[in-house]
Amino acid sequence: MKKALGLTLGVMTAIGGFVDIGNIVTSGITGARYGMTLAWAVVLGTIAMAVFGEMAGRVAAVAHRPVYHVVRERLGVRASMLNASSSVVLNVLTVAAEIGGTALVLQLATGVPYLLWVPLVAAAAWLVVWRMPFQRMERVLGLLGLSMLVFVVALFWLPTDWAALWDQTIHPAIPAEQAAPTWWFYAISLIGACLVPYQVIFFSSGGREEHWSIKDLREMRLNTFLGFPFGGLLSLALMAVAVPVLRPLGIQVNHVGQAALPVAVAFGGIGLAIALFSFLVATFAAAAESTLSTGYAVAQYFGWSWGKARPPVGAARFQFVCLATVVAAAGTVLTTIDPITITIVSVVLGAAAIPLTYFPVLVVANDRRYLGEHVNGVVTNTLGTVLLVVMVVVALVTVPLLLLTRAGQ
Amino acid sequence: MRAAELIGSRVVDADGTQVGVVHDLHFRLIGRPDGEVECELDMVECGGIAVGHRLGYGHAEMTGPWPIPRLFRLLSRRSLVFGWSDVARLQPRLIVLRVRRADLARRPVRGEESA
Amino acid sequence: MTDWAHHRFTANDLLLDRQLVDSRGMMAGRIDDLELSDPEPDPAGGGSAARAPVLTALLCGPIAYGPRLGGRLGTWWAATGRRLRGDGDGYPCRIPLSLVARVDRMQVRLTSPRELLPSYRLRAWVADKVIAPLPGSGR
Repeated sequence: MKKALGLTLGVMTAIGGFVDIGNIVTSGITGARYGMTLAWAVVLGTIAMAVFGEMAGRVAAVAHRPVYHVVRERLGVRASMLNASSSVVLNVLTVAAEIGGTALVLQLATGVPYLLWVPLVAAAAWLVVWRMPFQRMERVLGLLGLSMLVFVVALFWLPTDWAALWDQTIHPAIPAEQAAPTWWFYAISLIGACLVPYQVIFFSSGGREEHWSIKDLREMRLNTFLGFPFGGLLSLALMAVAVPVLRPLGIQVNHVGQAALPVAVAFGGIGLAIALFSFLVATFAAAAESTLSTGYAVAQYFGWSWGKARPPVGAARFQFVCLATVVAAAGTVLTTIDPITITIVSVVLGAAAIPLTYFPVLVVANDRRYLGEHVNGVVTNTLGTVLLVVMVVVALVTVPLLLLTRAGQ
Repeated sequence: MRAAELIGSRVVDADGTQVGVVHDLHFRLIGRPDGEVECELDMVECGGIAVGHRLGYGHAEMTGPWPIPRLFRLLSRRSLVFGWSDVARLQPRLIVLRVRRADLARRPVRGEESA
Repeated sequence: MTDWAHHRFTANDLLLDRQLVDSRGMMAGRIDDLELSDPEPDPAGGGSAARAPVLTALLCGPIAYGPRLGGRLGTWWAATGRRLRGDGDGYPCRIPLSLVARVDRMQVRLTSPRELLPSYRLRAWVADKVIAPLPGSGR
């Protein structure tokens, strides 16, 4: 019974932990603008995330090596330094996007300007990192995040044209009135929103925090093969609800509030409250998780103690990096750059940066000296190599598209 | 002497021909008469492209994913090893050998050897 | 005496950039460089070494890390390390092989707790001066 509870909790936390400000913003924008013609990008991103997560989780459980441990050992000093520093910069940007997103949701709920909320949100996220035990953090935030299922319910409540949604999903085509580069840019942003480096760092380091070993492989696989796809489904629901409500009216999503609008149309004030609450939890959880991921990456790179199992003085430099990350991220938001812009830039750059962490993990997942019989099989390797090619292509076209479309304008 | 002084050094042979850049040091354990064990610098590896080696593709235990191992083994084909007795002179960032490049051994793809 | 899992290995395989774990299983940094005995001049006068160098210590910390990084950043890194050290000693933190318990594929295990290592100073400074004064730091 206890074991079953552990499994369900694991799966649920994976669902709750998958969706963050990146998914909310990109799914909302693309649903309103392109209908379901970009649903394939969410599916692709989610499959890639599950494959990557499973490999990283396996390396963490069997070889006891979280992502940045592997990166430093395999890439050598210089390449891994470049890798770790880009990851840190990107993570700070992500933390900024999550803190900004949380503050925007609070502004919608209270009317108090978001910039006033930023220091409070940053302080609260830091407190979670500083003191909250790992499992409690994961479970509480993950379970509350399930409130996002309200979007799935709304989809059934609204006058959804299922046949049209399905048709757009399986016959992706650039809508006639839209520019192709922008459509591709948003495809990358959706992939980037599903396949986030910080989530893999968090997942594999979390596995070490919970002392995974070979016997936990089953639970880990359930997390990746049920939890992540469910998270992908939530992203699709966020996209799909925009189609019957926002698209006919030509409403563009350029604020988190508009992404919640379809639920308000379906269920009124209560629906809006639940939707905003689910955004609040998802973005706040992600703020804490991406902060932790920065600390994990730096501490693993230098071989310092890390993790929440010990009081902060026991992992002083790890906690110091986390604190510095929160401060830098809050500072970034306080420059009054639009948090939605920060979000979009962070997810597409994240998509471009994926090979940096993915490639070393793919290599180590093939090393018998570390994994013994648990090395990648033929299926995982085939998928893994195909996805590697996809990720490299994405990485190469991202920056040109970002400049060409001026971040999807 | 520090490993970082050797790794990355250029290597030239007795005729002044470029041999490559040092990218790894091979050690072996030797027992001394007094019972202590020392870890001796056995071979120095240079040439070729270091990245595949660094990733672990110099070992037979690396199984995939296709075609990466094959690619890296191809790239590191030109890796050569020399022993300490082959060294004529050490200069900052430069190792001069007393033998000729053509006489150096290729680095074998190794399996595991346990103590 | 150090327990080596392999009798032939390379620096990249088992030593460089590996995790150091102290006697209680706590993370104790990474191996940033290796110290080898200086080559002895050949008695015959050929200018080369009579005997191959042997491994004498593991080096860690910013002063060892800087030169491996190379370039301007590496120089700056090592210089910062020297300044933090404060005692004017430009030599990296050394962990002599007598302090190394076991070297295997998974980790490099030491015989002493990390508090006794020379590389522990920076960590202790961050813990005492930055983290401990904050509320709820566990001290």
